[in-house]
Amino acid sequence: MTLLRRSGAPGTSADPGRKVPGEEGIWVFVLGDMTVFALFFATFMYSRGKNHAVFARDHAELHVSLGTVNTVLLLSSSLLVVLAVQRVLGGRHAGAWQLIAGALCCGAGFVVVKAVEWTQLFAARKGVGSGEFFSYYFMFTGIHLMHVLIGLAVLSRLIVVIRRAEFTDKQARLCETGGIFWHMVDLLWVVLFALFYLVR
Amino acid sequence: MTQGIQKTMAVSGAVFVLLLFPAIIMTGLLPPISPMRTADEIARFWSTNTGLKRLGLVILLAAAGLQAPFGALMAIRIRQMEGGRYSPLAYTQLVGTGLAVVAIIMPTFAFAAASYRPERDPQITQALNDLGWLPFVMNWPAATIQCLAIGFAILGATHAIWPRWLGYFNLWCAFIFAAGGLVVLFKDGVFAWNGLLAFWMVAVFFGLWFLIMAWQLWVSVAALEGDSVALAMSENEPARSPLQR
Repeated sequence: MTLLRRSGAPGTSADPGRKVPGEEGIWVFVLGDMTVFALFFATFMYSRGKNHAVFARDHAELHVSLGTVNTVLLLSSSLLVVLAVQRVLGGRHAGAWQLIAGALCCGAGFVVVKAVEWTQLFAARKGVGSGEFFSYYFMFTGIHLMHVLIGLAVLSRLIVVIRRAEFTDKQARLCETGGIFWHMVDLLWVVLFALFYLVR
Repeated sequence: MTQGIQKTMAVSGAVFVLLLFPAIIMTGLLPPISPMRTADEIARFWSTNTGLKRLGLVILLAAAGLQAPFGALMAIRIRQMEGGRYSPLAYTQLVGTGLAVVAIIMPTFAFAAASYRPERDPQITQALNDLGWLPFVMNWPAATIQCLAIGFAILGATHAIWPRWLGYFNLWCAFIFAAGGLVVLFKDGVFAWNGLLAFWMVAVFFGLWFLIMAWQLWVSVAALEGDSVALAMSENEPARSPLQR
Protein backbone atom coordinates (compact mmCIF):
# COMPACT_ATOMS: atom_id res chain seq x y z
CA MET A 1 0.00 0.00 0.00
CA THR A 2 2.98 2.28 0.47
CA LEU A 3 3.80 1.62 -3.15
CA LEU A 4 1.76 4.62 -4.15
CA ARG A 5 4.52 7.03 -3.55
CA ARG A 6 7.09 5.01 -5.41
CA SER A 7 5.73 5.79 -8.83
CA GLY A 8 7.02 9.38 -8.72
CA ALA A 9 10.43 10.81 -8.02
CA PRO A 10 12.24 8.96 -5.22
CA GLY A 11 11.89 10.50 -1.81
CA THR A 12 9.12 12.88 -2.70
CA SER A 13 5.48 11.99 -2.86
CA ALA A 14 4.21 11.82 -6.43
CA ASP A 15 0.74 12.90 -5.45
CA PRO A 16 0.67 14.61 -2.08
CA GLY A 17 -3.12 14.95 -2.22
CA ARG A 18 -3.59 11.20 -2.11
CA LYS A 19 -3.02 9.47 1.19
CA VAL A 20 -5.53 6.65 1.25
CA PRO A 21 -4.90 3.54 -0.88
CA GLY A 22 -7.46 2.97 -3.62
CA GLU A 23 -10.51 5.10 -3.83
CA GLU A 24 -11.56 6.76 -0.57
CA GLY A 25 -15.15 5.55 -0.91
CA ILE A 26 -14.24 1.84 -0.86
CA TRP A 27 -13.19 2.28 2.76
CA VAL A 28 -16.78 3.16 3.67
CA PHE A 29 -17.70 -0.27 2.33
CA VAL A 30 -14.72 -2.12 3.81
CA LEU A 31 -15.01 -0.62 7.29
CA GLY A 32 -18.79 -1.03 7.25
CA ASP A 33 -18.48 -4.66 6.22
CA MET A 34 -15.82 -5.38 8.82
CA THR A 35 -18.00 -3.81 11.51
CA VAL A 36 -20.84 -6.14 10.56
CA PHE A 37 -18.56 -9.16 10.57
CA ALA A 38 -17.19 -8.06 13.94
CA LEU A 39 -20.80 -8.11 15.13
CA PHE A 40 -21.14 -11.62 13.65
CA PHE A 41 -18.05 -12.80 15.50
CA ALA A 42 -19.20 -11.25 18.76
CA THR A 43 -22.63 -12.92 18.55
CA PHE A 44 -20.96 -16.25 17.76
CA MET A 45 -18.59 -16.00 20.73
CA TYR A 46 -21.46 -14.96 22.99
CA SER A 47 -23.59 -17.95 21.97
CA ARG A 48 -20.58 -20.22 22.22
CA GLY A 49 -19.88 -18.99 25.74
CA LYS A 50 -23.44 -19.84 26.77
CA ASN A 51 -23.44 -23.30 25.20
CA HIS A 52 -19.88 -24.46 25.19
CA ALA A 53 -20.41 -28.24 25.18
CA VAL A 54 -22.71 -28.27 22.14
CA PHE A 55 -20.41 -25.96 20.18
CA ALA A 56 -17.38 -28.14 20.98
CA ARG A 57 -19.26 -31.28 19.85
CA ASP A 58 -20.43 -29.76 16.55
CA HIS A 59 -17.05 -28.15 15.97
CA ALA A 60 -15.53 -31.64 15.80
CA GLU A 61 -17.70 -32.42 12.76
CA LEU A 62 -15.90 -29.84 10.59
CA HIS A 63 -13.00 -30.87 8.37
CA VAL A 64 -10.06 -28.72 9.49
CA SER A 65 -8.03 -29.91 6.49
CA LEU A 66 -10.53 -28.48 3.99
CA GLY A 67 -10.63 -25.22 5.93
CA THR A 68 -6.84 -25.09 5.86
CA VAL A 69 -6.74 -25.69 2.11
CA ASN A 70 -9.18 -22.83 1.65
CA THR A 71 -7.12 -20.53 3.85
CA VAL A 72 -3.99 -21.31 1.82
CA LEU A 73 -5.91 -20.72 -1.42
CA LEU A 74 -7.19 -17.32 -0.34
CA LEU A 75 -3.86 -16.21 1.12
CA SER A 76 -2.11 -17.20 -2.13
CA SER A 77 -4.69 -15.35 -4.18
CA SER A 78 -4.20 -12.27 -2.02
CA LEU A 79 -0.45 -12.48 -2.59
CA LEU A 80 -1.01 -12.69 -6.35
CA VAL A 81 -3.28 -9.64 -6.20
CA VAL A 82 -0.64 -7.74 -4.22
CA LEU A 83 1.96 -8.56 -6.88
CA ALA A 84 -0.42 -7.57 -9.67
CA VAL A 85 -1.34 -4.26 -8.02
CA GLN A 86 2.36 -3.60 -7.40
CA ARG A 87 3.05 -4.02 -11.12
CA VAL A 88 0.09 -1.86 -12.09
CA LEU A 89 1.09 0.97 -9.75
CA GLY A 90 4.70 0.70 -10.91
CA GLY A 91 3.51 1.33 -14.46
CA ARG A 92 4.17 -2.24 -15.63
CA HIS A 93 0.60 -3.34 -16.09
CA ALA A 94 1.28 -5.55 -19.11
CA GLY A 95 1.98 -8.76 -17.17
CA ALA A 96 -0.40 -8.02 -14.32
CA TRP A 97 -3.45 -9.75 -15.74
CA GLN A 98 -1.88 -13.20 -15.55
CA LEU A 99 -1.31 -12.67 -11.83
CA ILE A 100 -4.94 -11.65 -11.35
CA ALA A 101 -6.00 -14.66 -13.40
CA GLY A 102 -3.98 -16.80 -10.98
CA ALA A 103 -5.78 -15.15 -8.05
CA LEU A 104 -9.07 -15.80 -9.81
CA CYS A 105 -8.21 -19.51 -10.12
CA CYS A 106 -7.37 -19.68 -6.40
CA GLY A 107 -10.67 -17.97 -5.62
CA ALA A 108 -12.55 -20.41 -7.84
CA GLY A 109 -10.71 -23.23 -6.04
CA PHE A 110 -12.00 -21.85 -2.75
CA VAL A 111 -15.57 -22.06 -4.05
CA VAL A 112 -15.05 -25.65 -5.22
CA VAL A 113 -13.57 -26.73 -1.87
CA LYS A 114 -16.42 -25.00 -0.03
CA ALA A 115 -18.92 -26.84 -2.23
CA VAL A 116 -17.22 -30.17 -1.46
CA GLU A 117 -17.21 -29.38 2.25
CA TRP A 118 -20.88 -28.38 2.32
CA THR A 119 -21.86 -31.45 0.28
CA GLN A 120 -20.14 -33.67 2.83
CA LEU A 121 -21.87 -31.88 5.71
CA PHE A 122 -25.26 -32.11 4.00
CA ALA A 123 -24.60 -35.83 3.42
CA ALA A 124 -23.91 -36.15 7.16
CA ARG A 125 -27.36 -34.56 7.73
CA LYS A 126 -25.93 -31.28 8.92
CA GLY A 127 -27.72 -28.16 7.73
CA VAL A 128 -28.71 -24.67 8.75
CA GLY A 129 -31.27 -26.19 11.10
CA SER A 130 -28.87 -28.58 12.91
CA GLY A 131 -28.31 -26.58 16.04
CA GLU A 132 -26.82 -23.23 16.84
CA PHE A 133 -23.25 -23.99 15.77
CA PHE A 134 -24.26 -25.11 12.30
CA SER A 135 -26.71 -22.28 11.76
CA TYR A 136 -23.90 -19.83 12.53
CA TYR A 137 -21.47 -21.84 10.43
CA PHE A 138 -23.64 -22.02 7.33
CA MET A 139 -24.89 -18.44 7.61
CA PHE A 140 -21.50 -16.82 8.13
CA THR A 141 -19.57 -18.92 5.65
CA GLY A 142 -22.48 -18.54 3.21
CA ILE A 143 -22.42 -14.76 3.51
CA HIS A 144 -18.66 -14.90 3.11
CA LEU A 145 -19.07 -17.11 0.04
CA MET A 146 -21.29 -14.40 -1.46
CA HIS A 147 -18.39 -11.99 -0.92
CA VAL A 148 -16.03 -14.41 -2.65
CA LEU A 149 -18.36 -14.65 -5.66
CA ILE A 150 -18.62 -10.86 -5.85
CA GLY A 151 -14.82 -10.73 -5.49
CA LEU A 152 -14.43 -13.15 -8.40
CA ALA A 153 -16.60 -10.85 -10.52
CA VAL A 154 -14.42 -7.90 -9.46
CA LEU A 155 -11.21 -9.77 -10.36
CA SER A 156 -12.64 -10.76 -13.75
CA ARG A 157 -13.46 -7.13 -14.38
CA LEU A 158 -9.90 -6.12 -13.46
CA ILE A 159 -8.51 -8.59 -15.98
CA VAL A 160 -10.67 -7.02 -18.69
CA VAL A 161 -9.62 -3.51 -17.63
CA ILE A 162 -5.90 -4.35 -17.57
CA ARG A 163 -5.97 -6.03 -20.97
CA ARG A 164 -7.63 -3.05 -22.61
CA ALA A 165 -5.44 -0.81 -24.74
CA GLU A 166 -6.26 2.32 -22.79
CA PHE A 167 -4.68 2.30 -19.34
CA THR A 168 -4.52 5.45 -17.27
CA ASP A 169 -4.32 6.42 -13.60
CA LYS A 170 -8.06 5.87 -13.37
CA GLN A 171 -7.69 2.21 -14.33
CA ALA A 172 -4.70 1.80 -11.99
CA ARG A 173 -6.78 3.14 -9.14
CA LEU A 174 -9.60 0.78 -10.05
CA CYS A 175 -7.16 -2.14 -9.78
CA GLU A 176 -6.04 -0.95 -6.37
CA THR A 177 -9.64 -0.54 -5.20
CA GLY A 178 -10.56 -4.02 -6.45
CA GLY A 179 -7.48 -5.39 -4.70
CA ILE A 180 -8.59 -3.84 -1.41
CA PHE A 181 -11.94 -5.59 -1.71
CA TRP A 182 -10.26 -8.92 -2.35
CA HIS A 183 -7.95 -8.49 0.65
CA MET A 184 -11.00 -7.80 2.81
CA VAL A 185 -12.60 -11.05 1.60
CA ASP A 186 -9.37 -12.83 2.51
CA LEU A 187 -9.10 -11.19 5.91
CA LEU A 188 -12.69 -12.05 6.82
CA TRP A 189 -12.08 -15.69 5.90
CA VAL A 190 -8.97 -15.85 8.08
CA VAL A 191 -11.07 -14.76 11.07
CA LEU A 192 -13.90 -17.13 10.14
CA PHE A 193 -11.39 -19.97 9.80
CA ALA A 194 -9.95 -19.26 13.23
CA LEU A 195 -13.41 -18.95 14.76
CA PHE A 196 -15.03 -22.09 13.32
CA TYR A 197 -12.15 -24.47 12.74
CA LEU A 198 -9.43 -23.61 15.24
CA VAL A 199 -10.96 -22.24 18.46
CA ARG A 200 -11.62 -25.13 20.81
CA MET B 1 -40.15 21.04 -10.99
CA THR B 2 -39.83 23.74 -8.33
CA GLN B 3 -37.28 23.55 -5.54
CA GLY B 4 -40.09 23.46 -3.01
CA ILE B 5 -41.61 20.30 -4.45
CA GLN B 6 -38.19 18.65 -4.72
CA LYS B 7 -37.36 19.49 -1.13
CA THR B 8 -40.72 18.13 0.00
CA MET B 9 -40.00 14.90 -1.86
CA ALA B 10 -36.57 14.67 -0.25
CA VAL B 11 -37.98 15.27 3.23
CA SER B 12 -40.72 12.68 2.74
CA GLY B 13 -38.06 9.96 3.09
CA ALA B 14 -37.07 11.25 6.51
CA VAL B 15 -40.72 11.70 7.53
CA PHE B 16 -41.34 8.09 6.51
CA VAL B 17 -38.78 6.87 9.04
CA LEU B 18 -39.98 9.30 11.71
CA LEU B 19 -43.51 7.87 11.34
CA LEU B 20 -42.48 4.27 10.77
CA PHE B 21 -40.66 3.71 14.05
CA PRO B 22 -43.27 5.33 16.36
CA ALA B 23 -45.98 3.43 14.45
CA ILE B 24 -44.32 0.05 14.94
CA ILE B 25 -43.77 0.86 18.62
CA MET B 26 -47.47 1.75 18.98
CA THR B 27 -48.44 -1.49 17.25
CA GLY B 28 -46.21 -3.41 19.63
CA LEU B 29 -43.91 -4.67 16.88
CA LEU B 30 -40.82 -3.29 18.62
CA PRO B 31 -39.31 -5.36 20.13
CA PRO B 32 -40.65 -8.09 17.80
CA ILE B 33 -42.63 -10.92 19.33
CA SER B 34 -40.60 -14.14 19.32
CA PRO B 35 -41.43 -16.76 16.65
CA MET B 36 -41.20 -19.32 19.49
CA ARG B 37 -44.35 -18.00 21.20
CA THR B 38 -47.39 -20.30 21.32
CA ALA B 39 -50.61 -19.54 19.47
CA ASP B 40 -52.32 -18.58 22.75
CA GLU B 41 -49.60 -16.09 23.66
CA ILE B 42 -49.75 -14.52 20.22
CA ALA B 43 -53.56 -14.33 20.32
CA ARG B 44 -53.35 -12.66 23.74
CA PHE B 45 -50.83 -10.15 22.37
CA TRP B 46 -53.08 -9.18 19.47
CA SER B 47 -56.18 -8.93 21.66
CA THR B 48 -54.72 -6.48 24.20
CA ASN B 49 -54.46 -2.72 23.58
CA THR B 50 -56.23 -3.23 20.29
CA GLY B 51 -57.09 0.46 19.90
CA LEU B 52 -53.49 1.62 20.10
CA LYS B 53 -52.30 -1.24 17.91
CA ARG B 54 -54.84 -0.48 15.18
CA LEU B 55 -54.00 3.22 15.28
CA GLY B 56 -50.31 2.32 14.89
CA LEU B 57 -51.19 0.24 11.83
CA VAL B 58 -53.15 3.14 10.33
CA ILE B 59 -50.08 5.37 10.71
CA LEU B 60 -47.84 2.64 9.30
CA LEU B 61 -50.00 2.45 6.19
CA ALA B 62 -49.94 6.22 5.75
CA ALA B 63 -46.16 6.31 6.20
CA ALA B 64 -45.60 3.62 3.55
CA GLY B 65 -46.78 5.91 0.77
CA LEU B 66 -44.17 8.54 1.60
CA GLN B 67 -41.54 6.31 0.03
CA ALA B 68 -43.06 6.92 -3.41
CA PRO B 69 -42.15 10.63 -3.90
CA PHE B 70 -38.83 10.06 -2.14
CA GLY B 71 -37.97 7.18 -4.47
CA ALA B 72 -39.12 9.10 -7.52
CA LEU B 73 -36.74 11.97 -6.76
CA MET B 74 -33.90 9.48 -6.32
CA ALA B 75 -34.81 8.03 -9.73
CA ILE B 76 -34.53 11.54 -11.20
CA ARG B 77 -31.07 11.93 -9.66
CA ILE B 78 -30.04 8.57 -11.12
CA ARG B 79 -31.29 9.72 -14.50
CA GLN B 80 -29.28 12.90 -14.22
CA MET B 81 -26.19 10.90 -13.28
CA GLU B 82 -26.68 8.38 -16.10
CA GLY B 83 -26.76 11.29 -18.52
CA GLY B 84 -27.84 9.49 -21.66
CA ARG B 85 -31.18 9.18 -23.36
CA TYR B 86 -32.00 5.88 -21.68
CA SER B 87 -31.94 5.37 -17.97
CA PRO B 88 -32.34 1.71 -17.02
CA LEU B 89 -31.00 2.22 -13.48
CA ALA B 90 -33.59 4.94 -12.85
CA TYR B 91 -36.36 2.57 -13.89
CA THR B 92 -34.89 -0.14 -11.68
CA GLN B 93 -34.93 2.28 -8.77
CA LEU B 94 -38.57 3.17 -9.43
CA VAL B 95 -39.58 -0.49 -9.44
CA GLY B 96 -37.66 -0.93 -6.17
CA THR B 97 -39.55 1.97 -4.62
CA GLY B 98 -42.86 0.51 -5.71
CA LEU B 99 -41.90 -2.78 -4.10
CA ALA B 100 -40.78 -0.92 -0.96
CA VAL B 101 -44.25 0.58 -0.56
CA VAL B 102 -45.75 -2.89 -0.92
CA ALA B 103 -43.16 -4.24 1.55
CA ILE B 104 -44.75 -2.09 4.27
CA ILE B 105 -48.43 -2.26 3.34
CA MET B 106 -48.62 -6.02 2.81
CA PRO B 107 -47.56 -6.97 6.37
CA THR B 108 -49.65 -4.06 7.70
CA PHE B 109 -52.81 -5.69 6.34
CA ALA B 110 -51.86 -9.05 7.84
CA PHE B 111 -51.25 -7.43 11.24
CA ALA B 112 -54.54 -5.54 10.88
CA ALA B 113 -56.34 -8.82 10.26
CA ALA B 114 -54.57 -10.35 13.28
CA SER B 115 -55.86 -7.59 15.57
CA TYR B 116 -59.30 -7.42 13.95
CA ARG B 117 -61.07 -10.32 15.72
CA PRO B 118 -59.66 -10.97 19.20
CA GLU B 119 -62.31 -13.65 19.82
CA ARG B 120 -61.24 -16.00 17.04
CA ASP B 121 -59.25 -19.27 17.19
CA PRO B 122 -55.65 -18.49 18.35
CA GLN B 123 -54.22 -20.76 15.63
CA ILE B 124 -55.61 -18.46 12.95
CA THR B 125 -54.22 -15.37 14.68
CA GLN B 126 -50.83 -17.06 14.85
CA ALA B 127 -50.97 -17.74 11.10
CA LEU B 128 -51.82 -14.08 10.45
CA ASN B 129 -49.00 -13.02 12.78
CA ASP B 130 -46.58 -15.18 10.75
CA LEU B 131 -48.03 -13.77 7.55
CA GLY B 132 -47.25 -10.28 8.82
CA TRP B 133 -43.82 -10.88 10.32
CA LEU B 134 -42.31 -13.01 7.58
CA PRO B 135 -42.75 -10.49 4.75
CA PHE B 136 -42.02 -7.59 7.11
CA VAL B 137 -38.49 -8.81 7.85
CA MET B 138 -37.81 -11.21 5.00
CA ASN B 139 -38.64 -8.89 2.10
CA TRP B 140 -35.15 -7.71 1.22
CA PRO B 141 -35.22 -7.28 -2.59
CA ALA B 142 -37.22 -4.02 -2.39
CA ALA B 143 -34.51 -2.21 -0.44
CA THR B 144 -31.55 -4.00 -2.02
CA ILE B 145 -32.69 -3.24 -5.58
CA GLN B 146 -32.83 0.47 -4.74
CA CYS B 147 -29.42 0.46 -3.06
CA LEU B 148 -27.78 -1.36 -5.97
CA ALA B 149 -29.36 0.96 -8.55
CA ILE B 150 -28.22 4.04 -6.63
CA GLY B 151 -24.78 2.56 -5.89
CA PHE B 152 -24.02 1.61 -9.48
CA ALA B 153 -25.42 4.90 -10.78
CA ILE B 154 -23.08 6.87 -8.51
CA LEU B 155 -19.99 4.77 -9.27
CA GLY B 156 -20.63 4.87 -13.01
CA ALA B 157 -21.93 8.44 -13.16
CA THR B 158 -21.27 10.52 -16.25
CA HIS B 159 -22.40 13.59 -14.30
CA ALA B 160 -21.20 13.46 -10.71
CA ILE B 161 -24.06 14.60 -8.50
CA TRP B 162 -23.46 12.62 -5.36
CA PRO B 163 -20.10 11.83 -3.68
CA ARG B 164 -18.64 8.43 -4.49
CA TRP B 165 -18.63 7.32 -0.85
CA LEU B 166 -22.43 7.43 -1.04
CA GLY B 167 -22.20 4.88 -3.84
CA TYR B 168 -20.13 2.52 -1.72
CA PHE B 169 -22.41 3.15 1.25
CA ASN B 170 -25.38 2.09 -0.86
CA LEU B 171 -23.65 -1.08 -2.04
CA TRP B 172 -22.89 -1.90 1.58
CA CYS B 173 -26.51 -1.24 2.63
CA ALA B 174 -27.62 -3.54 -0.20
CA PHE B 175 -25.71 -6.30 1.55
CA ILE B 176 -26.98 -5.40 5.04
CA PHE B 177 -30.63 -5.30 3.99
CA ALA B 178 -30.32 -8.81 2.61
CA ALA B 179 -29.65 -10.14 6.13
CA GLY B 180 -33.37 -10.59 6.79
CA GLY B 181 -33.84 -12.78 3.73
CA LEU B 182 -33.38 -16.08 5.52
CA VAL B 183 -35.73 -15.63 8.50
CA VAL B 184 -37.98 -18.40 7.21
CA LEU B 185 -35.19 -20.87 8.11
CA PHE B 186 -35.04 -19.87 11.79
CA LYS B 187 -37.36 -19.67 14.78
CA ASP B 188 -34.67 -18.74 17.27
CA GLY B 189 -31.30 -17.02 17.39
CA VAL B 190 -29.73 -14.03 15.68
CA PHE B 191 -31.17 -14.83 12.23
CA ALA B 192 -34.78 -15.26 13.38
CA TRP B 193 -37.25 -12.44 12.65
CA ASN B 194 -36.59 -10.98 16.11
CA GLY B 195 -32.84 -11.67 15.96
CA LEU B 196 -29.94 -9.28 16.35
CA LEU B 197 -28.68 -9.65 12.79
CA ALA B 198 -31.89 -10.25 10.83
CA PHE B 199 -33.97 -7.58 12.59
CA TRP B 200 -32.08 -5.13 14.78
CA MET B 201 -29.07 -4.54 12.57
CA VAL B 202 -31.24 -4.15 9.47
CA ALA B 203 -33.70 -1.88 11.31
CA VAL B 204 -30.95 0.49 12.44
CA PHE B 205 -29.35 0.83 9.03
CA PHE B 206 -32.73 0.92 7.27
CA GLY B 207 -33.62 4.01 9.28
CA LEU B 208 -30.17 5.49 8.79
CA TRP B 209 -30.28 4.90 5.04
CA PHE B 210 -33.48 6.91 4.66
CA LEU B 211 -32.08 9.77 6.75
CA ILE B 212 -28.78 9.86 4.84
CA MET B 213 -30.47 9.66 1.44
CA ALA B 214 -32.98 12.36 2.43
CA TRP B 215 -30.08 14.59 3.51
CA GLN B 216 -28.17 13.97 0.28
CA LEU B 217 -31.29 14.62 -1.80
CA TRP B 218 -31.90 17.85 0.10
CA VAL B 219 -28.32 18.98 -0.53
CA SER B 220 -28.54 18.06 -4.21
CA VAL B 221 -31.70 20.14 -4.72
CA ALA B 222 -29.86 23.34 -3.84
CA ALA B 223 -26.65 22.32 -5.63
CA LEU B 224 -28.39 21.47 -8.88
CA GLU B 225 -30.32 24.71 -9.15
CA GLY B 226 -28.95 26.55 -12.16
CA ASP B 227 -26.34 23.84 -12.57
CA SER B 228 -25.21 22.65 -15.97
CA VAL B 229 -26.69 19.22 -15.31
CA ALA B 230 -30.08 20.74 -14.67
CA LEU B 231 -29.78 22.69 -17.90
CA ALA B 232 -28.75 19.60 -19.81
CA MET B 233 -31.83 17.83 -18.52
CA SER B 234 -34.17 20.65 -19.44
CA GLU B 235 -32.94 20.55 -23.04
CA ASN B 236 -34.61 17.20 -23.49
CA GLU B 237 -37.92 18.53 -22.30
CA PRO B 238 -40.40 20.05 -24.73
CA ALA B 239 -40.44 23.82 -24.80
CA ARG B 240 -42.83 25.33 -22.30
CA SER B 241 -43.86 28.83 -21.48
CA PRO B 242 -42.32 30.38 -18.36
CA LEU B 243 -45.72 30.23 -16.72
CA GLN B 244 -45.85 26.46 -16.97
CA ARG B 245 -42.45 25.95 -15.46
